[in-house]
Amino acid sequence: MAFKKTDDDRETAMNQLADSVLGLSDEAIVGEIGEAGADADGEAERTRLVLRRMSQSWGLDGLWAESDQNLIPSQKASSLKR
Amino acid sequence: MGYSLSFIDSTPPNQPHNRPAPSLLPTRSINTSAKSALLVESDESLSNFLTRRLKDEGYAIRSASNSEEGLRLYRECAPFNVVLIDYFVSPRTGVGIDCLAPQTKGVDLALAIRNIDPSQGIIVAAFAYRSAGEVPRPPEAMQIPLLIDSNIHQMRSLLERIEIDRAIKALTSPELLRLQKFAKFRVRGLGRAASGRDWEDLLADALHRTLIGTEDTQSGRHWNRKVGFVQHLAGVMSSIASLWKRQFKEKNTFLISELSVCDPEGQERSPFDDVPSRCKPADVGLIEQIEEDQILALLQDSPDATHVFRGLVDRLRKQEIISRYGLDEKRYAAAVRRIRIRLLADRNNTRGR
Repeated sequence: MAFKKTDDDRETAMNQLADSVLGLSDEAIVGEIGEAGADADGEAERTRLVLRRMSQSWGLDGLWAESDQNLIPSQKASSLKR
Repeated sequence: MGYSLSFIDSTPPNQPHNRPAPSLLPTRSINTSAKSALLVESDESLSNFLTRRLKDEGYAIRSASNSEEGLRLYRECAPFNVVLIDYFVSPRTGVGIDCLAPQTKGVDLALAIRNIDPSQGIIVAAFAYRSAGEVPRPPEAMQIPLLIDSNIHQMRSLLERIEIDRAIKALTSPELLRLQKFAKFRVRGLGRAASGRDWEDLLADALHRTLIGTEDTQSGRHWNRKVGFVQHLAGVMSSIASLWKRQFKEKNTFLISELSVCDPEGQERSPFDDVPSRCKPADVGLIEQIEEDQILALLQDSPDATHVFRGLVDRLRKQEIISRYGLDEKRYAAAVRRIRIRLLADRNNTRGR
């Protein structure tokens, strides 16, 4: 059977994969990031930075001053590694 | 220092103040509430007004009638979801407002609290001014949100922004990773319709629209607190991705009349007149084929993963995929996991996506 699909079909598949991520446990998501060859802590911090930059652009800069110090060890992704 | 308060400077951080011990112990119980606010307001009628507004928004409130008491309460009961301070609050009990002196006690208190906890959400109410630009403040206080308008909309908007900021800071690493992966798959699903945008653009846009939603629910996306913040952002990302797709299709769609040209004899001709079939343009077909080949190559060592991916692209449901390819729940879950990891690893090796 020829495997030739449209953009819409592939989008549907990717959307299902996206939705499946939301149901993963903390340990599973960190494990998958590691298996994909990425640094979980680094990727989490990169994601926080994306949100932080947007938040700052709305004039909430001051609220971020010590957020990094506030990160409690139990929140660190590396502490959840399998 | 022009903006210091003498009682603030004389009291070491985290030490009980010299005032008589407060009679209302235990003060910390307020923080068991879902949302807590400290209101520092000298004017009784304004205090009642703001208390009503905050209560309407679901906040449990602790009130202080001057900045000295406000700082004491803050030290005893912090953190609060929000601290709302009147710009013109009097410095201490029995001290009135000197109309001839510069009135900065509200800002001084805000800065003192920021000094104790830089992440504390604070709003300074300056109803006597028409705009934020008119409110005298030192440079270090410029980022503290000002409440200028006494109507409920501005207060609600500021409170929501502070709650959103708190939610961002509270995100754990696994939650951040979930958001990132969700965004990556949604962008990859868009293919050419992403038009050069990556997962960071999608996530940032989702937060941007959420922040707009604090002011305008028509053009922004209001965060309903009954839904978790991760779930909310994922929902907004889905909407934005669909919007990008629609925009891409509309941009690449033309009316026949827009494309029609007249030949030298005055006959109107459509460029599609010479197109032999309904086939998609060769370059588009080629791009799609390359993408398909790449994904299949990534999964080639796992027949289960290949089957599941084919099933997903065929828009089959989980049970249909299991049934068609003779899998069981465990093998299905393992195959989906393998697909996620392979696609993610693929993107980790390609910049920007």
